[in-house]
Amino acid sequence: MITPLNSPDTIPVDAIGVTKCFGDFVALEGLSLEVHSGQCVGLLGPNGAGKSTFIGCLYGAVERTGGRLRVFGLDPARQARSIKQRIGVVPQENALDEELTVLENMSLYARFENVRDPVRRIEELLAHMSLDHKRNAPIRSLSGGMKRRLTFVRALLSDPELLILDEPTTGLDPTVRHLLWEKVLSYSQAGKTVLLTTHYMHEAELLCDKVIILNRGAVVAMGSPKELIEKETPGFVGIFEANERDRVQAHVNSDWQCFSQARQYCVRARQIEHLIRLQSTSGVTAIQMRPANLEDVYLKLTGEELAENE
Amino acid sequence: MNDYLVSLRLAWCVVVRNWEVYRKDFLANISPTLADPALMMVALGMGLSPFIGNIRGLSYSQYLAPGMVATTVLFTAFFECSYGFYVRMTFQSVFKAMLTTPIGAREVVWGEFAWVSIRAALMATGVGLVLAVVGLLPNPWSVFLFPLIGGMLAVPCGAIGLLAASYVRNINQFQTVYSFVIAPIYFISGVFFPLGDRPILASVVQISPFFHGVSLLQMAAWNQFSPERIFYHLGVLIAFGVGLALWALVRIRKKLIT
Repeated sequence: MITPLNSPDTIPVDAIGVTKCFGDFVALEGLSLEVHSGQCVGLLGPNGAGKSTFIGCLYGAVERTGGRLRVFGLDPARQARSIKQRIGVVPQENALDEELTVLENMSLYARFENVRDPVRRIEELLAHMSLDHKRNAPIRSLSGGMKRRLTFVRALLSDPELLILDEPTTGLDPTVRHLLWEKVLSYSQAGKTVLLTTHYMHEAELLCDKVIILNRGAVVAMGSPKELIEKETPGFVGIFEANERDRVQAHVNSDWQCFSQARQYCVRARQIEHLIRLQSTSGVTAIQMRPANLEDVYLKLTGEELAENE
Repeated sequence: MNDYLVSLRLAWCVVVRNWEVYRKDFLANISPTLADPALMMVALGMGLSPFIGNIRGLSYSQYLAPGMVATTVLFTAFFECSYGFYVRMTFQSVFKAMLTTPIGAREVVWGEFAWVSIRAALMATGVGLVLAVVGLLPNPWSVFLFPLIGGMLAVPCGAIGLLAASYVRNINQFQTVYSFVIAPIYFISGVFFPLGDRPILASVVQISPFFHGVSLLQMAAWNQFSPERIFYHLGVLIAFGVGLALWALVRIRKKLIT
């Protein structure tokens, strides 16, 4: 019998009502989501929303309190090892052995993963991540970006079917970030499944077919970036100097949305023509006018609680 | 492959990892383990021997010698599994990365035990060889038993270290564990003086796995074997080893798997 590609047994991630409590604190509250083969799915949410807790549940590093969770049809609570043979994880912390060289580090992990022909695989991946010239360098001599690329090498050693990235580009400079985005995209385009958490909305918009926004351990929105923008924050955003707020506000229609961001005052309207007209009626020129993006969705859905969920 | 065989292979990977890191700074790592017993032998053995006279027909240096082997094992196992493990777990996040691979909490703990047992066995052999060469072992052939006894003794001593690592809230609290657990069992387990004529103390130390390890090493080094005592001390040492190791496994699993 041929198993359909996304039958319940082959869906990379299938979560129904997953809960996790740490004492009285509820980290995940009935989380339900699916990640299908070949998808790149982003988990977004404020710090403490439950993203990393959920990721830990996927490979048994966190024991769920309730609900049903399957990874490739396997239960992480009982079959973590079988799951871990099919996934690669880039955790938040690099956790590389600083005293060892790049090759020594990767050889150890290739041994953990029982990789066949480890030397060839490591060399291949080091070249892929432009780290081959550093093969004999101690980890402590590498830059932050190099270390992060090396954790990608580590995660890819076993050629995983599902790649899990927990805030993969946090703290990296734009050049390294763009390089890693390209690698994730090429991995995704090769038909592999990717699940990533990020605080960078641009990153999620660029890489993900589907995003899931979490807040206080529960899903608050789910869909493609385009769908979410269309549903939650359709239109365009005009950005004005904050000190022009009163002049702009006097000409804003009641069905437009206004909000302040740092030293900026923002107006979101359905049509860009509305913003162009607002400029002429108020006599204030916008600093920028842009289509609404995922960050607007994120801030709308979680904005009231931007202070970390604690 | 059988689940337990896979676990053994993965636990061995943890040993290999620890060795790879250890050998990078080999001299700095090995020095205190060898220097401490050597200094102790010089200060207490050579220094006090002339004032103390014979104990059970042995010079005080000969009396101390097997205790120094046991001390090496105790400190190797305890410090590696307490401070060493805590640093790997908390500051270096080594296990967070390991747990993303097929390695689980069980393999981490088994690997740590295997690592300290091997290290302690090798250290016990090294110290024993030096003691044999300088003529402080009435039974020089006992050197061949030292790795076996040292390896076994390392398990309960390492388990105490792992338990400490699972209970402390910060690295400074290990000092308390050392002061109230390790130091007492070190000083009153028959390493420095015989317990025979102190019945209360002799009863109390029965609950110290270190005492049973010391007793086995002393029997071997002094060539004073008695089958009943071997079975008793070996049995209690193994029981402590298994019990404490299982307790440590449960505790460390709770720390690693939240």
